[in-house]
Amino acid sequence: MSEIVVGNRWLYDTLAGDATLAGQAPGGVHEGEAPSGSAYPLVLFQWIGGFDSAVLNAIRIWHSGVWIVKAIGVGPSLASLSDVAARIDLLLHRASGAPSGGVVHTATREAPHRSAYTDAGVRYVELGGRYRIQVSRS
Amino acid sequence: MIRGNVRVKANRLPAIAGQLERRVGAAVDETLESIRDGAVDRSPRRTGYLAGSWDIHKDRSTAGAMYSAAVQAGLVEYGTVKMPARPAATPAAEVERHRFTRRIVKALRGLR
Repeated sequence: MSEIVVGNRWLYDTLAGDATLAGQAPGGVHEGEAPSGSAYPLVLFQWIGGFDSAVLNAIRIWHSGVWIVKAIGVGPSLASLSDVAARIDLLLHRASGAPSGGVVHTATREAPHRSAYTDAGVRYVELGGRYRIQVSRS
Repeated sequence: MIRGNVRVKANRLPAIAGQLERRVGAAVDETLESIRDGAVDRSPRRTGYLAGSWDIHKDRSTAGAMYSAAVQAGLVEYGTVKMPARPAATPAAEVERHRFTRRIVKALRGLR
């Protein structure tokens, strides 16, 4: 199983399994893009790059990947999203875990993320972060 | 008790410091150009505007950044609620991490 799949699985299990976040983000947790008709706020995550760390003989230690993780809401203000983004950070920053198929050694936020755009007349706002996740296969 | 004096007759530290900045600056330049080329290659192309928008800014001889002036760059890099991310800058920079370290090591080993 790819390290990216292991990382995705850990993120989904960690975020979707949290009752507090489920209450704050009724649109749910999704990888890549949200299904049409989703409620807001919702949480999206996606792997966006990374590199492998290896020692002699190309023995791979782990994949050090970057995932964008963000809460997305509808409306002009970031205020309603700040609690969701804070909960995401509480769940992920300095966390680790053992999803099926591998191990997440560390997760740390490298930078916050903020974006806003209008699509089909609807104003969307995003708040979250870029997370560095070191993951290996079992 | 034996006492001795040490006198420096040839001090090459200023010359080495000068070499250091030049050599590290060259490594930074090479890395920035590789990241930019990687971002250009990885950018999704419809009109080619995004791919052609990546550029380099040097803050000083040993520091710089790559950027895009295209308004859609951030939306494409990180995705939107209706569009998955199609990152170009992040994977290009990640690929260069180890290479940058090797360039710096090579630059330091070449100091005379």
